[in-house]
Amino acid sequence: MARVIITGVSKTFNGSTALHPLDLAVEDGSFCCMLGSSGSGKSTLLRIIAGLSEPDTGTVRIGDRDVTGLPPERRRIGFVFQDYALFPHLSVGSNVTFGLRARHVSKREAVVKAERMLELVGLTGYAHRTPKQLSGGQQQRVALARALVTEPDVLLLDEPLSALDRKIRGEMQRELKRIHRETGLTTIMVTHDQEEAMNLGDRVLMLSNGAVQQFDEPERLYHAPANEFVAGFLGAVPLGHGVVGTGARGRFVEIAGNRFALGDSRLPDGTEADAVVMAERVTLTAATARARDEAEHEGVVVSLDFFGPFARAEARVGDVSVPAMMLSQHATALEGGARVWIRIATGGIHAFADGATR
Amino acid sequence: MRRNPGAFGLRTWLYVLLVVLALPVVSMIALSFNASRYGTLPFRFSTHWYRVLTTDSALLDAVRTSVTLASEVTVICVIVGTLLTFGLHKASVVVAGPVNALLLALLTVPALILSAGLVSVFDWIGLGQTTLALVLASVVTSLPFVVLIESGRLQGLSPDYAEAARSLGAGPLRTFLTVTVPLMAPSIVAGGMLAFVICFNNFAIQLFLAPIGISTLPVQIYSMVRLGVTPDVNALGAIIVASTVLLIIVLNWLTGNAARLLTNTPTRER
Repeated sequence: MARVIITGVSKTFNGSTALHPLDLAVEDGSFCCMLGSSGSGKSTLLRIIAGLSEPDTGTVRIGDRDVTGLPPERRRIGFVFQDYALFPHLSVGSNVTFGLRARHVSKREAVVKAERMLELVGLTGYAHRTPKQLSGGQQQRVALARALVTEPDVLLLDEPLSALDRKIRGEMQRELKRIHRETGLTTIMVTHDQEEAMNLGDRVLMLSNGAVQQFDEPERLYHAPANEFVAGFLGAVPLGHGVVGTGARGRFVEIAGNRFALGDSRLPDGTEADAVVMAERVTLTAATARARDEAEHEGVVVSLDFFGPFARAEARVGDVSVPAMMLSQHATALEGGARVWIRIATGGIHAFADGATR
Repeated sequence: MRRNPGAFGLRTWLYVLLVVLALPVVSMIALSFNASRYGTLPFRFSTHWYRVLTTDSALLDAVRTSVTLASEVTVICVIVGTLLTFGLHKASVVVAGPVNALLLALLTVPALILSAGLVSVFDWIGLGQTTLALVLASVVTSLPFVVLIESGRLQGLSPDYAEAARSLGAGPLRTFLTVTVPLMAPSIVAGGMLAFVICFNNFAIQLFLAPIGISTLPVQIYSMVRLGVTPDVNALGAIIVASTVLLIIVLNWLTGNAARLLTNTPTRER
């Protein structure tokens, strides 16, 4: 059990910057997800915490120990690799006892502990099998058991679920949540899947180009993205460039003559800003159904796409194009070219000056 | 079944090729069991020539010399070659590049020319034609094969395994011995066996560098054949072919199971 505190850590590879100097504090017992696309530096940061890579500057502390410069075997960590890295020449049981044997735990005790850990991950009785005989999900559980059995101070997961198919991934997410709850272990996971990060993380560290974009709770990340990049990564679509102002019904951003209501923007009136919209917070109603509400915009459906349970529509308000995401059953009343009333829920639009401040 | 004239022709060609390739070996084995001294028909089965072999003390000495030489060279090649492979893997290009080029050069230089060069070098440093010189020269010819096979395997090995071992608390030495070497085992065994065969058969090196009065098997066969191919040479050839085939079978089996043999996996069956 330990806090992980990173201070001023940076890293360059062959002259190109992988990580700008950054600070990070992961609280004891929390689940931190490092989210970003490939090349964002999230894996580099995880490997630096593990000791598999050395930072150019800065320090890494786990608990009350400064582990900077310590080799991985002396950091008391558990590390789970993307493709599991189970030792193919050892049985499942020997894979799990490996870390205990390296720490000179007696064979008898190691086997007992391994059994208990395999039970925790739901693989009782699999000790004598070889990794090859297991499915991807089962191999991932073995990798987890192997990392957990040594009772590390911190558990590090490098995209542990990305090699699994969608259905098993959901199952493993619930499994990771349960194991985290039962062990109370400080956990840091790298992922490029925003839903996974939101679902699992107490806090999410959003990285891009080797720099922290936002470190926040998942809800805050979604409802109050720090900048255009974060909003975009979470699915927001550019609405257009406009000017922020205050009217009778509160703050708005005016784009091409259309005023769109803003939530809690801190930008002063008159600021030029880029506005983005969350398509799932936009509701379209056929104009024939009822009269227009004052808060609604009038628009025309330009396109309509179905994705099974979901549908996506594109409507035009003047020269501004507004996307809308909805359940398919709500799209049946719509058709291309039809007039619609467009309602955008509060907080559905964010405005950023210079692509930065909110 | 549908007949495809192209495939039929191809298959016939393949069989013809196989027969032509196997003909010398098959006829040699057949003649070794023929009682006739001059390989004439009718064929009469006899193990006479094999019994002759067992009484040829010079030949038996040569076999012993060759097996000893090849075994020593194999052990040296496997140890040096394995360390060299890992060294080259870690080394910077500045070091690894020239060493790899040198190893490749050793593979391509004709054995005869290499032998001539080695003779003058060993004369110059005062080793001359001694057993040590013979072993060293044989190591030089066999080592590239060991490194070639092992480095191929090492490059294909994911660094994740070693990193996983380190993250689990194993130091560099424990990681090397319990993870990297077992994962490399098939290539180490294959490299060793290849080194043995290459060394055993290297006629030119042995002719040039064997100490006076000591004959290895290829050299001994050469001196026997110079006076005409006698059926006992055929018998010897048959034995060598048989042991080579056996070696390949063992090699094949080992490469599949070496990893399991070299590590004890405590498995509790229930």
